[in-house]
Amino acid sequence: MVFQPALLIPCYNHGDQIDATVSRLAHHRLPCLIVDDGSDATTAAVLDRLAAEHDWLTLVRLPENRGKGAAMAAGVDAAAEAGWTHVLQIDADGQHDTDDIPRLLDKARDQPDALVSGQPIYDDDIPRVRFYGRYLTHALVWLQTLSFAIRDSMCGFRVYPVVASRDLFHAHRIGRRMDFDTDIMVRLYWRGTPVVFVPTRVRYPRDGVSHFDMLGDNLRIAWMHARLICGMVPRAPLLVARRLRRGSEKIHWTRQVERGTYWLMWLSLQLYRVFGRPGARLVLYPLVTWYWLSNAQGRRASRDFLQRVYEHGGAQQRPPRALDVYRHFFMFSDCIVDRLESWRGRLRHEHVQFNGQQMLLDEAARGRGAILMTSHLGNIELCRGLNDQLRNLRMNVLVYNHHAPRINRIIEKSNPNSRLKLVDIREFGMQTAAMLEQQVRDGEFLAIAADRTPPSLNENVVPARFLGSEAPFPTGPFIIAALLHCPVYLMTCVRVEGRYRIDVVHFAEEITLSRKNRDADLQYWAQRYADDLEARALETPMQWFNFYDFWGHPVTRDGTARNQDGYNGD
Amino acid sequence: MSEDLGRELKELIIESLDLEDVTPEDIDDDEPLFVDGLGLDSIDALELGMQIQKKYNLKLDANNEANKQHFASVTALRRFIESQQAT
Repeated sequence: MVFQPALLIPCYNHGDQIDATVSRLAHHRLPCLIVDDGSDATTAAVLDRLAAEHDWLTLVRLPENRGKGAAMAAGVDAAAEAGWTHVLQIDADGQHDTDDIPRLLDKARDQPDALVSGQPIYDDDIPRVRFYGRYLTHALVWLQTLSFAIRDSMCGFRVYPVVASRDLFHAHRIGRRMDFDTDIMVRLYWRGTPVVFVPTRVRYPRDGVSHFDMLGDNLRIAWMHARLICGMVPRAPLLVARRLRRGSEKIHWTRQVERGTYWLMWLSLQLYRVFGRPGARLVLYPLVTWYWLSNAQGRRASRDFLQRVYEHGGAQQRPPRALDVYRHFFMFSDCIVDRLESWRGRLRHEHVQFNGQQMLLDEAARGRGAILMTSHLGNIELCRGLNDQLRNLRMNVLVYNHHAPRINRIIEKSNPNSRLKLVDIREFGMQTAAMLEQQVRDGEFLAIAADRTPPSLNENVVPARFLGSEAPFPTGPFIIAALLHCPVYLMTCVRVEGRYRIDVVHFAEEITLSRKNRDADLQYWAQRYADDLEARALETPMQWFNFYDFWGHPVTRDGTARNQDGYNGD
Repeated sequence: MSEDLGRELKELIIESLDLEDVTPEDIDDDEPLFVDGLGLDSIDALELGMQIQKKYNLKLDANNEANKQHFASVTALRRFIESQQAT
């Protein structure tokens, strides 16, 4: 297929900024279409001058202001006529990072059928209301597509396949104003256009002209979402079939739920405030039921796990049936409700049994920190909510998540005295190691889960026996522990007979990895960790929240895991 | 001065990484420290990075590639430390 991209800028009264935007585009050596959406005389004059100065610019003028959607429709028509196959849309006000244009185009060249969209990484200056507004929109879009494929529906920095877009414009009246970006993306998705994303930095313009009309546009957006939800209903079987056909999306579903919980938490929390636990369940139970129905891989993984627990004499005392798997899924939604309760301070201390807390307090009293190795068995997030003394420890949670800085800002805003911080260790290097070492020396604690392999395919893992056969465990946590030369504890939080039980056990005074036997040493520590985890999994199997084939990544000889089922620890 | 620093660095490398049977004389100033040359691995690199940062109070780069350059050889490391101390 021929790939002939062009740039497309819908412009309405951005006379001040369009000049700068155009000059940033020159070096990309692409044809560019500017659609003047009925701008005032000043802007129109600027556009005329620009079109006269640059032969790579084409100007299309609408006689009156009709909104972004109309401008895009006109632009796509003009592009089709000119023989361009793709248009890359850029906002006139310069909020998009034009340096990312080649990356978007590369993606479009690889997948010419797809709509390629920037996925914004925001600078700090995004207003908070907008931030929450975005999450609400994400949620609605997930509902409208019955899929998590659309990660962002509002960023206008996109490459549209011209033919598919033109067909859609001709077949349907797309939202013409602020409702345009979401409307067209959802409808293209419905019509079978895949949607793919490229992360990009977006600057929220402080002094830019914003055409957002508070009442009118909000009503328009609400109306659009209502229409799209209604449109989803008759398409639901197709959308579900499409999802099943493609296999599960590349992210583990508990991750999807957790990711969804940024907004879901908010929604559940509101319902929780008014209706208590049943209110929150109103949201969570249908969602988990949906996952149970749609996620065959998760069901298989759960059944396999419960079968192993049964064979090893654990708390699953019969061969697992469908109902057991359903209960297993359900426990996860309960786990989220528990988190809500702990946030609201409703979990009280008499509900908690804490084994081994003195060890941590002693470490803290000595002014030194430690590593707490955790797992996805039980609900480790509850610990701090359950126990004041734990809450007073400075805690850094090591995660593979590039949102860490943003989540930290949210934590800090909601509680300036919070002693909890997330640290992103995806790019683990000398600087990260040195920073963590400093934190431990300052008496801070580092929490890290050691039961999930890192997102990247080539990260090191070691095999350890777990419930009957070898499973890959990440080497990262043990390497970090060895580098920091500090004590290591294992920590879990599970619910037993209506009470929470936090267990802290001493794992090692220091983890050492000899130079000559590194692999064997790593394997030794991973096995010790796996042994402890196995004993706990046998006791509370329903609180095992790794719903993917835990054994499914055979470990190759060079110690790398082959990622077969696409599980991603993102 | 810089010769002393070079020697000091070699001693630090040997000590912090427990390199048995290696003396400062065995380490060539310009030979690559990692993979070939001394054959140190990525865990060694992290360990060394931490020790050196602590001892010389350096500000390491957030960019891992840049750090790799700084730690490529004893000479590179020496230059990096001197440039940091000069500022």
